[in-house]
Amino acid sequence: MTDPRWIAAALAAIVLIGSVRLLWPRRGASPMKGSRIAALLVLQVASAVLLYLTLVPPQTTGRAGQLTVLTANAQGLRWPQVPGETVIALPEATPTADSAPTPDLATALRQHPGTRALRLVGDGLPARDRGIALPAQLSLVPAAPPRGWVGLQPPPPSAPGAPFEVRARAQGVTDASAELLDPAGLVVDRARLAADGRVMLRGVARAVGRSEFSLRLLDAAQHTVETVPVPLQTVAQPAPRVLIIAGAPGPELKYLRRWAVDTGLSVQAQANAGGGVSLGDAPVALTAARLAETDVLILDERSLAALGAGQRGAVQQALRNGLGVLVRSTGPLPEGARQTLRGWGLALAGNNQATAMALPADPEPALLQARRGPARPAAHGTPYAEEADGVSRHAAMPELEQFALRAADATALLRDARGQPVGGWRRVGQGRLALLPVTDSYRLVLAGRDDRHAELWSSILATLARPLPGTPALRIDDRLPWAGERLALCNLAGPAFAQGPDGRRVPVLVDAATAGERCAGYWPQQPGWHTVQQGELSQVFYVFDAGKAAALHRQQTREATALRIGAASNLHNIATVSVPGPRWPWLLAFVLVAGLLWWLERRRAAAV
Amino acid sequence: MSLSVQQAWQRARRRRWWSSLLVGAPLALAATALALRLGGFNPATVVLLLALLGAVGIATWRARQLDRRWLVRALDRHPAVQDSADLLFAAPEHLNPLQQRQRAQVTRALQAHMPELRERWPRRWLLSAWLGAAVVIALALGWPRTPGSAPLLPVISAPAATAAQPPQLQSSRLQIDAPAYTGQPRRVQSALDARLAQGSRLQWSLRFSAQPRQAALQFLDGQRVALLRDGEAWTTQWTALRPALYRVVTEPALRDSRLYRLDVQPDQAPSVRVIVPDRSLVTATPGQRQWALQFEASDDHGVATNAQLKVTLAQGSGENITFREQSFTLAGSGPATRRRFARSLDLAALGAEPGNDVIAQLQVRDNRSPVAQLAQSSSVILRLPSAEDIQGTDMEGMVKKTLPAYFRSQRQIIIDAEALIKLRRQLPPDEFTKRADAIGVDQRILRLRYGQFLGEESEGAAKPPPTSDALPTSDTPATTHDDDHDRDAGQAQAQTGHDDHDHGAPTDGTGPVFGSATDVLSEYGHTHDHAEAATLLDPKTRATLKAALDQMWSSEGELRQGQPERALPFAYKALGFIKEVQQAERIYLARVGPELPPIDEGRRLSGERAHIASRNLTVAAVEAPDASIVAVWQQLATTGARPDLYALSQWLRGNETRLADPLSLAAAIEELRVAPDCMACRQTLRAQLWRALLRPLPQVARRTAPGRTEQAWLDAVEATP
Repeated sequence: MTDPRWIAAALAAIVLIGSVRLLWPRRGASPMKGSRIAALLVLQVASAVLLYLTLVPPQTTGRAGQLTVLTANAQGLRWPQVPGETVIALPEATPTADSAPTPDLATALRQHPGTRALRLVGDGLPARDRGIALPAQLSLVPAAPPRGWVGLQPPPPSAPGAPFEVRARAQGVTDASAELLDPAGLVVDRARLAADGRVMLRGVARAVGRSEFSLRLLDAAQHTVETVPVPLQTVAQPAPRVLIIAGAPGPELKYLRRWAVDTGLSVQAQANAGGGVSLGDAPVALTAARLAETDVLILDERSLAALGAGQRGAVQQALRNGLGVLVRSTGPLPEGARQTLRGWGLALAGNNQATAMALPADPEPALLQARRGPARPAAHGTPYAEEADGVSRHAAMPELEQFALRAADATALLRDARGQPVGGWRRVGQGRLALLPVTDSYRLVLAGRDDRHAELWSSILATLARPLPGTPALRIDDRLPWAGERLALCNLAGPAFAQGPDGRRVPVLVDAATAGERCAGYWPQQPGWHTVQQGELSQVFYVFDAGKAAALHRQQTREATALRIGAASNLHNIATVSVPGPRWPWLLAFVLVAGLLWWLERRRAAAV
Repeated sequence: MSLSVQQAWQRARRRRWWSSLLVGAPLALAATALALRLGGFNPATVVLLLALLGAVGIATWRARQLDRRWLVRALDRHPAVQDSADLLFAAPEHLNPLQQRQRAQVTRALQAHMPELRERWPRRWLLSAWLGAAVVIALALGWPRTPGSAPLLPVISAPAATAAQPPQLQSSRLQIDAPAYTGQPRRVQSALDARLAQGSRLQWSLRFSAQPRQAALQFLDGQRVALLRDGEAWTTQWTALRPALYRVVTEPALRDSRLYRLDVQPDQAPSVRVIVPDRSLVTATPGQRQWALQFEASDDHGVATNAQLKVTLAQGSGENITFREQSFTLAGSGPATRRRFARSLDLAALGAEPGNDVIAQLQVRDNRSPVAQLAQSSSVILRLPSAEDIQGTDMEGMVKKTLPAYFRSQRQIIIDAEALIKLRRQLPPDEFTKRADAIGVDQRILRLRYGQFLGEESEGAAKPPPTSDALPTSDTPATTHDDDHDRDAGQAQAQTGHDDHDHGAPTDGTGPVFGSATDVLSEYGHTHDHAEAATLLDPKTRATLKAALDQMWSSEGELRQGQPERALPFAYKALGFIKEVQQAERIYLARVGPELPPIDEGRRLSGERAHIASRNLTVAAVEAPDASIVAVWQQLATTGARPDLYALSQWLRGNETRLADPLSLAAAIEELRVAPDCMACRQTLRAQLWRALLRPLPQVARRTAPGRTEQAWLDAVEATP
């Protein structure tokens, strides 16, 4: 529609019609003088040309100019100011007397054609203005760096009851410490910030659902500097199928089985009591078919040594197909078991000497209490039992016993209090093979610390269990999503809807240009949990509020602007863009000519 | 009518108007003052306005009463008018000439001298009106207000409430009378939330903007306390025994009803601390007559002035112990919340004798009513040592202190031997040999003692031969060479103490003490393990001791043969070794692990196994955390879902004791129940529920399989050596 050719054609048609009407001999009217007709015709054409030029002004190469843009937190900044320089203020900036407010940067660039250089003052460009074509020369007069949390790595979706980690980075506060608060406002972890401002805090998830923790930054005087929300999504996990084969019954097996059953795993445990007698669940044959239906196989050194050659082969094949195999030790590892492990792909070093092992220490009692939550109601509790239970909840952790066995070239399965690796696992095909040289993790339960026992075993099984087939997961571009800023939802399988905290459903349309990625743009308007629904599958992500995490948002703006400036500085010798010239002279001329035309026509009428 | 007459008439009217008004105005003011007193400012302004209007109206009416007839009559009263005032107002054309003449004359006369038509000021009326009004005003404004008395006139009362005009809480008053024992004064507050002592009496007085038909306090646990109307106010009473949440409910419903909270602080039981003595078990000094006791009792509201001191006297020993209890009443001193009780017990008056225990305990009560709370101090014991106890007081650290006794004995043997050598010339050989043999016997007994330390057999009930002393060594303090002789006599007793261990050898001729378990054991049993395992000593000490024993053995042999000179080097060596042991840093009880014999694999599973078969041992999973509150917690996160609050409050009722702050959770539930669409209430309840949520056992997070390309890369990495 706005094609200039259409405008030209329309104007030409109008001129043609006007000229024909002028030249058409009229009845009852005295014929005009030829000179007047000629003048009218010329003026008509001239007015049409002028109108065209008004609408489509000729391209000129605009005067090379510099535009200074005030962005957020620009107040109080000094830059080498040239007299007559154009200063505009984006809506985020505090408007000053000598700056012109403008709704966005694209508008400003349109209003100031020929801008070759852009000087940004303040934090930088907000997300709205980052996607536009910017002039070649970009420079930044940065504002003071934000004070508070400037980096946050929210925990990934966690399993119910599992511990999770939050990493964050703060700046501008000396001698700072950080606290992680649970949704009820209780402190669950506390740590001092490292010299570079980084900190890692641990919390514990509870039931399946969505919760908001908060991360508090305290200065040296223990005053709160800033609190940012830490979203945590807790999703139910498919329970792994566990097969435990023990060479002999023992407390370790008993409490391992108790843990597995209580956690809801589908567990099959059997212990050989000697002489062909087995205790536990119904006996299971170690066949390839059975192992294919198992996610984790837990052996000990005796049951490992007792495996026949066929069984060893079956286990090795299943291991390559994704089975997780754990060999826990209840006693010294015999040479035969070592050889079997080496054959499977886990070479062991070290001897069978037993040493003491301490698990990482607990936090202080109040934090531990907040993490563990209320006590489970006893089925047949007496006051004494409850008191004893309460005492044992804060019991110190017992020392465990481990063998000085190390798996060569393997990843640590656990780490002790000093950070030394305990046990190790290796990838074998698609599966994982691990050795745990700890003999008495059950002591944790006996001491009342069943939580640590459960954490230990669930972390081991999480490492080893057979991987789930990958599902097409929604992917959100790596930065934190902010309310009011566009974000890209990728890996969308089909038609999808997004739903904000207010419950409004918005269809998201996959951009055809992102063929492989299948991304769609989405503008979350409200902070909070947003859901993307694709058929049956729904995925949740958290949208942050720039007002509640101001330093974080500022830092992201600064980083994005820095990236943009870095990218732009490479484009110095790009051709100057021709810009539309001014319209007003053409409009003035058009009005004059049209006026003259009108006057000529009227004069004729008056003369008649 | 001439102008002058007209003016006079008007003047008379004005005078009448003003005098009426001046009488009426004080009445109006008085009425206003009354209204101000009885009805407040607004009614008073209305009354003032009406009264002034009335006064002006009456004044005008009275002024109007002075009409033409009155004027004629008033003029006629003056002689100058000659009863001809009527003529002045008659139309001139209807008058005959005479009348006209008369009229002109009257007019002239009036113009010459106009009579005074105005009334005099009604001084009496004015005076009485103003005085009366002043009295009324003074009374109305100055009458003393008696508090609480019903107003003389009913106040403009609140209108009855309707659904369209719901009542609103206008003012509230909560009077809290704490129980008398707390000593807290009566509190009156306008807030309906309160923090109060248990058992406080609460009295509410509420006023509403519109009168409801009924009103009550609805407690969250279902209790309902009706409010009774008392004039404008609605009142009721309640005794706070437990923390509660309540709201004010009316019919028709209150416009904005919120939940109020009563935090009840129960009375704390008193606590008693023992100040003197500073230990719970005190041993009496010899000759002690008095035992000073001092306690401190503290309570949040006050401790009763009197406390009971229970003194128990335990007499006897072994299993034959009798108890005697006595009770004393002590009067405390100091402030009520922190009282001190002191008493000095006279041991003789109690009947305490050596060997007895005196046990004292203080019982205090606080001043709670109706039932005081009782608290007891820990018991303190005074032990009056018996004579034997006094000798054996240093039994603690027996091993450490026993050894020096033996060492001195070895030294004694050397001393005896050296003394014997000096006497060699003076003694006959037989006597000399006999004496040397006696020293040899001592040396043997000493060797056997040390052998016991090493866990050796004591060579078949080593009875000291009759020639020897009762003790393994004769510990005669008078010996000049004995550098340790100044140690107290308790050392000798230490040896006796160890003698109990000597396999039933009565050392002093008396039988074993009745009830002494160790004696029974050592008489009929055998308390030693084999030599390698049972030891009090670490290996190095043991080796040294063994060397000492060897030297003693040699020394003993020479002594028995009557050659003390040849025995001396061995004895000195033995003493040297023993000194080494003495200087060893510690003597400890080694932890001895079971050193089991190796398992004979060949004998395994060779027994009867007919009834032994595989068994299925099933394990039932522990119940999952309460599903109902988890469901509510999850539903609260989504906007549309309506959580089952009823089930939640049912659950709360059952689990109140387990939670840290059940009242806050109850309040959050109630807030949401009242306003189901309130997003902030949902968030509050969710946060409160988090505190109640049990942490489930950590589930196993599942990893996802790597994608095709990642797996290919991993396989390639694995394939490369």
